Amino acid sequence: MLRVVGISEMYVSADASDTVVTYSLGSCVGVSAYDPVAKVGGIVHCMLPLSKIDPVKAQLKPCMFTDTGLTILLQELFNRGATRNNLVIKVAGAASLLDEKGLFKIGERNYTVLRKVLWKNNLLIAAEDVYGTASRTLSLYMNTGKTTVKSGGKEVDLK
Amino acid sequence: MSDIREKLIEKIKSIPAIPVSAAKAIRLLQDQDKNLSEAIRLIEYDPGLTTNILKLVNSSAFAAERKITSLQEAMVRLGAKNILQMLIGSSMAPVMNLPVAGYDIPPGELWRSAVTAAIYTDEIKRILKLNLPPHAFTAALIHDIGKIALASFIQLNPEEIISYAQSKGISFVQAEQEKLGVNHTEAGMILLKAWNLPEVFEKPIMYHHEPEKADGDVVTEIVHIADALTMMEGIGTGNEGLHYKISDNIFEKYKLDVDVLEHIICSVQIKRDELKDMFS
Repeated sequence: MLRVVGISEMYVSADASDTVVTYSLGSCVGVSAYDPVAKVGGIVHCMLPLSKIDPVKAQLKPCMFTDTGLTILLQELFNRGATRNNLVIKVAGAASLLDEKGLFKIGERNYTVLRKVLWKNNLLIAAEDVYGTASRTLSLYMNTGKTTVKSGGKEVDLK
Repeated sequence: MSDIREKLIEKIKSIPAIPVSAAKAIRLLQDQDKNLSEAIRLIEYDPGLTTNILKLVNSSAFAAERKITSLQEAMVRLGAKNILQMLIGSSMAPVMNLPVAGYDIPPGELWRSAVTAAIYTDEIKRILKLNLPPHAFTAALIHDIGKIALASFIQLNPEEIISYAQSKGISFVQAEQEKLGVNHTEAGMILLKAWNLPEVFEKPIMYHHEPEKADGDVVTEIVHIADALTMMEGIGTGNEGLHYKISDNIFEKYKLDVDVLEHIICSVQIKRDELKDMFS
């Protein structure tokens, strides 16, 4: 079944027939995590780097922020049997507008925070498609753990 | 090139207009001397329009204390000007829900991005404490109407335009201009005139990518910011991606730094959740 993850949402699945997908990753980051042994995986779609800008809203919608959203995704996967050693992490998004002076680099900041959270959890990124100006769609196929990125009409295997 | 341009313009002009009753009511509402009840009567005969206006007026965005059930009440509560804005917005919805093939934008997505830009406009106004005229919301809602004109009714080759934009390092709107001789802002203007919409929308439609050219029109400047932030979220971008040139001057003018922007993005997200059902 197609499980659509909206902006500031996550979905965790243990059903091999599921495809977890998130659309319209601009400067947001999408993280797909899959444990091939426990056969559990999920995607989170985070929009802003740090929850400290609005702790009240962060409680309401923790997946809006990369620091809280990614932490919750990992926690949920561990709760459902995933282990650090087996978890395969793939990342897409963190694009920017054509912003010559670099007034705001939300994509870049999202990515930096993401690396930090992963580093704290002793996790590495297995594959990624980040930066640039593309709007991306990230999909996780639960039967095999295959993760793809689609942008500009082309879907490619992220590996 | 001029051949393509002429053909495109002819086709844009033939795009079916908004519902006749809406068009008539829009004209009536603009005319100060006309009796407003005449406009209400016109709208009342159109169940789609009436429902949309009642949905909007009862949404949390307008914070009605009790349910408003008639157009008459809605008119009293919001005033003719706001009803006019809503009417324009809601008559665009069916058109905006068409798939935008040329841009690889799925059905409903352009509408979703239009609504997002409109919510951004409201939140920017609130957070920066700006004094914006009531048509700002609608201007954000319809600023990209030209994309429909260019893409749904004309088979343009988006691959060609996007790769051209990428290879030259220019924005998608510039690439449209260079490859087709007409871009979606001009196409929007042609529609605006063909549909008899108020002149206040000219600048936001025409210059939302080049707000410096709008002679300081605040609505155009805010629509530019709202549009850029919507794009940044990746909403309604399709093949255009984030190939969007932002105006540093405008962002500086409103003192928009990372902190303020993140604050705005955050509150838009919450507000959009509240409004989710309304536009589905």
